[in-house]
Amino acid sequence: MKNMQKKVVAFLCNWCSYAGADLAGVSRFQYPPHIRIIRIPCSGRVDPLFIFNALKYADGVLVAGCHPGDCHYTSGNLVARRKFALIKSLLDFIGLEEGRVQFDWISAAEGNKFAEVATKVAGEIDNLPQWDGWGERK
Amino acid sequence: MFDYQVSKREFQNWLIKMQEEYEVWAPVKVGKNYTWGSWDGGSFPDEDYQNTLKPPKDLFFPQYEVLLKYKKVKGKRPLIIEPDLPQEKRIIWEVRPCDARSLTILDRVFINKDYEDPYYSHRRKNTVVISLVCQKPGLGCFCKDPLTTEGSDLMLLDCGDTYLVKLVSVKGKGLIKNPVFTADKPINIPMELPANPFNLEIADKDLAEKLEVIYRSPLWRELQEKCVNCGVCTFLCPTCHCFDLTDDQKGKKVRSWDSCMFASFTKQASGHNPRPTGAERLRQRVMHKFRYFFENHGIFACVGCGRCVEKCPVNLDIREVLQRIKEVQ
Amino acid sequence: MTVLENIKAKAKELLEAKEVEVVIGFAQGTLPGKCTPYFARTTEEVERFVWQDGCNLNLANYLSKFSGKVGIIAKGCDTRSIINLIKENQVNRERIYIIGANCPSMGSCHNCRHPQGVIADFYAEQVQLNNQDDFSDVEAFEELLSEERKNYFYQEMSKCIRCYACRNVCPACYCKECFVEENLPCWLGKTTDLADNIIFHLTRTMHVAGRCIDCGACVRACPMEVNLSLLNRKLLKDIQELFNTEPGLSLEAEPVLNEYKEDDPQPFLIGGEESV
Repeated sequence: MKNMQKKVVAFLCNWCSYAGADLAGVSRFQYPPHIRIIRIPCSGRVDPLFIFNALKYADGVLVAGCHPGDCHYTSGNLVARRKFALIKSLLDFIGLEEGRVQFDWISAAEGNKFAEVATKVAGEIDNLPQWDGWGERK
Repeated sequence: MFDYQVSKREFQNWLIKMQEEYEVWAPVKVGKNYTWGSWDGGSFPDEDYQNTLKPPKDLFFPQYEVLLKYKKVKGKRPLIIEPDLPQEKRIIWEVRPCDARSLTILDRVFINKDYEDPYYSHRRKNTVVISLVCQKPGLGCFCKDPLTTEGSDLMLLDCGDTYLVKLVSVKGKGLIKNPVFTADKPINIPMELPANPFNLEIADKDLAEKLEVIYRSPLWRELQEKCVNCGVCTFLCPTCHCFDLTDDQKGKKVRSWDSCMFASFTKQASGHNPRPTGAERLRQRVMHKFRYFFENHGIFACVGCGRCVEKCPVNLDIREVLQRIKEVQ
Repeated sequence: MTVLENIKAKAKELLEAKEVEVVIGFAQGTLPGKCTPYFARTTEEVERFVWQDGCNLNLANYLSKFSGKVGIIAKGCDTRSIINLIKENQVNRERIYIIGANCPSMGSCHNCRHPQGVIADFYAEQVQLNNQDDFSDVEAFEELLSEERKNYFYQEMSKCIRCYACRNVCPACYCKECFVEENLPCWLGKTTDLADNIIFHLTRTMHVAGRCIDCGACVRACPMEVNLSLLNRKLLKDIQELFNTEPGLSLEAEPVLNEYKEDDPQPFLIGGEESV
């Protein structure tokens, strides 16, 4: 049960991915309990700081928003998309494992996809070497 | 005048023996710079050793320090956990005399008749300072006396294969009981030490007096024009000692260095800032070092180590600032 | 006439005609090889200007200190910062007079592609240079094992003393209140713990991404010699590869992170690009 102590922070957009997570719950699709969801208004609201700061305390991060073209605010996720590409690349550059921070698009109708993604992401993070919390945890 | 002459090899052996009881700190070369670190028992400073990037201030008054932790206890007063006071015994050696002297300035702030900072004073009391005379001043150096013994417990002079040793304090004398330290009579300095290229004669009593009358001078605005208000000068200063207290999210009260050059230094909860521009901030830095500290303690809070001169990203040179102030009619 | 003579002549002309109230340039510093920002308000003061190796701060940083009409002696990176500041409504184009000149410290920056001014009202020097930046430093780092990259990154970050010189000399860092100073909520601890240092530098890198023009002022300002350019240049390389653009070259183009295309690449998705 050592994985129970691991934490994955999931930033989910209010209009799609959070509703997708809700649907997963209503539909009784199982997903790992150590995913801690933080609801945000739009994936465009994800300041890179949220991700970097979350990694001080959590073992991994998942960010999900509406599919491109479906943004409640028309283009929030499209602007976020460029930012995510850079964040992902930067984190890889400084030597973080591929699975530590992950991004995906999940719609309100994709309860099953949310459960699948959450299970996959949490599973991958569980299997990574112990995260050092940016050097905080020795 | 020095008291003993000792070969470097013997000195090294003595210091290695001291490591049984003391943690020995020395300038450690990282890349092309020196930082304070644990002495490896073998290395001596290279020819190029001028001074460390950061002053030894860190070893007594660290950049940040947890003063206490607290926890909520249901229905009771919060539980306060104070950390143990630092007890480890240390020797720091190869400290430049200017930096050793800076400790006497910090002492006036942290150990005085009104207040004694337990963290600082424990570290200070448990540490022996061995200084090494400067024989080649750096580009930004402007100390008054490269042979000052203030703040040192022992002082060394590098004479090639040997060190001349001067006993300065009781603490220093107590350390030396080993027979390798022998001499019949006091030893004169066998070499000519270089004259100081920029003696801090500018920082004299006249300066303190001049500062009293130029508080509202437009000069401050002019002098600070190129300043970007970063904290290089204050963070690298061996005598700057302003700090901030903050609570982190996990119940820790942290003391960390602050800088009067930062815009947020005096910002109040209301949003009002009594030092709204760089002019007031530069004035505060200069006034604190050369007027207020002088009034309170009779000395300037500057030892002329030159770090702020060499590292300022915009070359705002404190020597030039003081000169300009003195020229004001 | 030499470049410096051209610069001085133009600066004097502008001041005499009262077209500007101050000209921002460089004067001789107090240490060997060091130049210092200098603000000339009279023709006599113009005589103190120098243009030589060591004039390597980004003077665009000073534009916001003045409210009236300002002349500025600008090398390539300064003009690119000015373009960004104009686009971001921090500086009014009408208010500044740009005296363009080739960077006198060439060679100190990694294959600088734009040592000459990109925009100017007057060129003190007209030499076209065509350097190519091959990002070989970034590529060499990418080749290392992830473990090695992380160790190096941590080691660099541990040197930081959070004096904020990097931020304060950066023309792109003009926020009235930086996130590091906010305390409700307190985003960042006031310590120099590795974690706090890392979060500060990563966030700053992302904040200037698409606006950073790799002038290197932050690297030169750093008293602890932290290798900041590696992070900035990595994103510059990514921006070029992913979005095929370079910041600070045109007054018309939107900053790269302010706009989007329908078919922007999304290599960051789980399952990669093809998963949608």
